[in-house]
Amino acid sequence: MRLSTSTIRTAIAMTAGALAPLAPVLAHEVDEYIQSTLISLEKDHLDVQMRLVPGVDVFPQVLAQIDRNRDGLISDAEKQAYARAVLRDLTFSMNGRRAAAEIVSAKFPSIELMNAGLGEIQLALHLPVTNPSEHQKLVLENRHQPTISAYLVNCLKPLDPSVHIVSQHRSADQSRYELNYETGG
Amino acid sequence: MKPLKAVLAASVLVLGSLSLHAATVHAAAAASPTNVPPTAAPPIARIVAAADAFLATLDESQRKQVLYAFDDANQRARWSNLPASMVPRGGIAFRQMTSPQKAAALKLLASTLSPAGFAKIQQIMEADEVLQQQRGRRGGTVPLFGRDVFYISLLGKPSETAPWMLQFGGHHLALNITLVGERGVLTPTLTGAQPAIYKSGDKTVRPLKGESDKAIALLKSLNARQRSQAILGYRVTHLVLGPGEDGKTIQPEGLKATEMNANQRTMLLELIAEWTGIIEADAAAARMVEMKADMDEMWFAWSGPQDVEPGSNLTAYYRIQGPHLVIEYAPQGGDPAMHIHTMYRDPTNDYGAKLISK
Repeated sequence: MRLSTSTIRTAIAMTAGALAPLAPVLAHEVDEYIQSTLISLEKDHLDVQMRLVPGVDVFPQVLAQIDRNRDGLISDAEKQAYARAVLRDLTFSMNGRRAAAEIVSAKFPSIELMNAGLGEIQLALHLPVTNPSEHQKLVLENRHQPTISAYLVNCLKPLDPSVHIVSQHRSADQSRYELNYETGG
Repeated sequence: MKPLKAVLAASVLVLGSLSLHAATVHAAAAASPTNVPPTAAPPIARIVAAADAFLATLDESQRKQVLYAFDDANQRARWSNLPASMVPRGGIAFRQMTSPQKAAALKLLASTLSPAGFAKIQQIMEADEVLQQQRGRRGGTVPLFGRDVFYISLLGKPSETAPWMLQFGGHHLALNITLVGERGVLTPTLTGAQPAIYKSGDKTVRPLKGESDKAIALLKSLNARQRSQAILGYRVTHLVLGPGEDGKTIQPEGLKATEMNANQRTMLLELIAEWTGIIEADAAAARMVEMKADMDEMWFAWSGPQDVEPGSNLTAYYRIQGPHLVIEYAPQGGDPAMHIHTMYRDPTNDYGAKLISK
């Protein structure tokens, strides 16, 4: 299932501004763009949750990628464009083949919150698993803003008892993640 | 001496000179609520009495500010490692209370915690006071740091039988204590400190000393094969399951406790007790029974330097994980020995979910 632009726009419109100042953010590092990814495994798909938190010092670099017309506002179109830009910087492969993830939702806090180091962009992605086999190998590479980013990537313990994680391997900075898992039955 | 200080333990501090690695403060000796003689009353009776006494000190508008419905999910999740001026908390702050009200709030807090747990919480608050002195008063109408910017709230009516909850926190602290009769649950709880080393008179205070020292001792007890399993080959710079990640369980990694010898397993339990032992003794004992039963399914993972300067704190990240436990210790950037975040969770029972559903 590939989500249409209008679907993405609706998702963004529904969730834009939903992140009130009360939304818990990950940390308060000022000089890092924290990108935390949590993967949830199902037999026929993966759900990927990304929490992107720009520190105060690096926010101008992040904002420059979001607010493309430099008007000090983040329009829905710019939100969509940034979500797609992040997605373009991610490479998913499944069993050695490039896999296409889709944007399910993209939540953006206000510029003011992000400017204060408190804003957290939340992206939800969906990765269908085509031709699922018993032994699966997922590789995720994140090349989004590598010079300023601190990456975290983890997999949730599968709720489905027939899905079993065999091994995880990461590069030193966690920009590359390899997950081997099995789906019985 | 102000009445609040009369209630605070010996960690009540007056700021002194500062250095790069240790803020110098002078202790003002004071009576501690933890010195109150123990009574025969069950913990929940003492806690409810302390809660009622605290509420009785408040006027009507303050009570409204403090009390939330037990099922208020927004308030339940309204905690953070960040200062309250950045992430507003619910409830009432110390700066909004009179001295007797603060004393009653601290007495309530002390009734829910062990003496060691209460001392740790006071030291975390005092670290924030030191930070306030170092950085200056900032944050607009709400100060950024300091012991007066910690908030207390109650979800539900204090009861010896029905579930209710005490929340207490501010910068680098979030205690979520759910009480259901004689059962007490401390998860999720965030502790942290900055500066994580400071001076109180001639005494050096490290609020998270046990969390650091016991962990490095455990790591050093491991042989080469065990270390190769425990040490992750990648850098972890932040909490994975910090604020906003309630009820989640990641795939465990590192060294499984079944690969540890008896002494190492004991060391692991003693390390876990730094968090489980924050709550009062009966609840802590019940939690440790659970931890011992889970021991074969515990994991210990480490990322970062494998040594620590004498008298300083770890600059490495570590995680302890079991079927009913996630503990993370995550030093932060800048001077990581001086700025630490920790997280304590039971993904199966955060906010006492299991007790409440019964």
